[in-house]
Amino acid sequence: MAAPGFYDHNEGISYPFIDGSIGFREPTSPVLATDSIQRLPTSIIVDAGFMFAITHQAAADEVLGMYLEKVERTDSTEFTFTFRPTLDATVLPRKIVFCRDTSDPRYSTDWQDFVPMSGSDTEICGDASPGEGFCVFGEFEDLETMLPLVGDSLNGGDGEAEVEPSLVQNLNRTFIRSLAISNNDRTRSSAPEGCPAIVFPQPPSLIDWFQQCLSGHVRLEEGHNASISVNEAENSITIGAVAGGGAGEVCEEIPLHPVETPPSGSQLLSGGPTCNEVLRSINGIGQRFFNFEAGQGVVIEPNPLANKVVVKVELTELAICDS
Amino acid sequence: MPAHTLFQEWRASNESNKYPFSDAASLTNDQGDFIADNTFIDAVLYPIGGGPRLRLSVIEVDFPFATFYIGDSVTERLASGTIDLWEAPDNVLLQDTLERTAGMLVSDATRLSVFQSWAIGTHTFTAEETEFVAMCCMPMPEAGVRGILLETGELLTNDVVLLGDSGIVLRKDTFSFAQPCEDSQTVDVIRVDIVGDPLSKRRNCEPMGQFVTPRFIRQLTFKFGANSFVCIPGEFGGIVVAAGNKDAEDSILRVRTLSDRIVIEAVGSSIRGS
Repeated sequence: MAAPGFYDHNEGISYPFIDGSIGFREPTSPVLATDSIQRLPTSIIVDAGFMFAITHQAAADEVLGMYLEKVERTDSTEFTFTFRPTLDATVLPRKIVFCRDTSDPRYSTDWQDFVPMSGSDTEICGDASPGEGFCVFGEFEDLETMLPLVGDSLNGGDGEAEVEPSLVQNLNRTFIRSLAISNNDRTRSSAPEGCPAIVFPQPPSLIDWFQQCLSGHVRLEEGHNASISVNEAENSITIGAVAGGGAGEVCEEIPLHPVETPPSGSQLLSGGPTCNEVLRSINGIGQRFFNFEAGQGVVIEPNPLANKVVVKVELTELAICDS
Repeated sequence: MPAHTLFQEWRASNESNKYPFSDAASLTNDQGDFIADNTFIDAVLYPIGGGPRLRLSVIEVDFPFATFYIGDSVTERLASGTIDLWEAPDNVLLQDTLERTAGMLVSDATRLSVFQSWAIGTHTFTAEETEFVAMCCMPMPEAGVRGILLETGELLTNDVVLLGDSGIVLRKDTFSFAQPCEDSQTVDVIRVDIVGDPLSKRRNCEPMGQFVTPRFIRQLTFKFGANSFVCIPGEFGGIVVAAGNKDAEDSILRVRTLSDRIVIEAVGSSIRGS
């Protein structure tokens, strides 16, 4: 007697779901709702497999599984099968949906990508899906009988129609999908006490600008004062600072993002005066507190409230010749 | 009787065979340790860089924990999973040394509790003893950039953000290079500029309230009567104050520059001296 094929065999068992999680028939114990996913005939799905590439929020030690959440008759000959991860929807809001027509060949394989739970949620870097899966479908006669009308459905939650754990592959944190670059805000000047505030065109906070989705071949380039070296033996890249290295000394400010501009009244992106806009020395003497001393015949009177120093040549104690 | 009811469920059908281990696996080592056929229901193994002949290589028992290692023909400890024998889970999640998921051994709490009877210590197995069937093993070559490993041991993966800070600026550029007999290729470039932070003192001291923005002198205005002269700093921020003789060739006004001050005085004989 010829042995049944793999798919043929699976039509009679729960696989790819965990043993006994689907295929319930009356009478059931405990009593199941009439639309329970656990009533799904075993002949419908004969094989499946899922792969997660990216699960941003899942912890490294969380077991990632899949379960069949819903089977719905969406048309006279069409059914949709919605699978969900066993993680909470707030952690991984993704689903995978297979759509089958009753006229499709028996045992045909369908591949789909995971999609966001809500339409407004999108993946970083465009269409890069966090994972994909496949499903092989068998006979639909029992399902057509069970769900005769458009809109009829079978529904379940986590822990009911769960896929065998060995059919789920978690590749999260096993590769770099993309690089993004940004720059933290620069240190900005503030006006001294009593002076008008410096108004920056961009708010002084973490710059909300990213150059995203760098993928494929990426090259690191030495800019000003930078040194980049590669050690093939250690499989490492070292980025260091060398005065004058790379593109040499920097002669002008480098903007943190393409549209950064100085505030009004300043030539500098960080605000404040440039080096030659402030008095740094008098007669070559540069000191924080500069001394003007009155010699003979001269009186120097400070007037700090008026920001003024009055120099009077009064010739006090000097001998004066009367003409 | 419907034909389909003759077929055993997946897990039940593997109770009496060695799956997920190879049919040829002895499931016993030379230390006398024995793994029963039905201890593990299933397995899925995908350690990065894993080679041929993946096996259950080591079981370390250190109560109340047991750690299961998988290895290949080159590396004995590619990945591992640890369980609490008193509160055994249904599955053993395997991770490699960088905490990346490397697979799973499917079982249940009752089956795994059998390891409570194992002696404390390290129990090793060869490929002939515990090799897994090929169906459970998915090749995961270590190709491409898998992650960025920092000196601290932290691994960055998925979507990585490089952030310039404290005087380092990152910019995106492109680079095109010619290839023989092919069109030129353009790649993304990350340019690293190290420009420093001119206001580093503010950055370091301001959070502690120890920085006060100084009030710089931007110009000197010289007034005499109705006349006013505004002097701004030169190219290097300096101003020269000197006594000139434009209006009087015999001016007695002198401006002397000393090392730390300027003295403004009038030359002449002092009354006291006479």
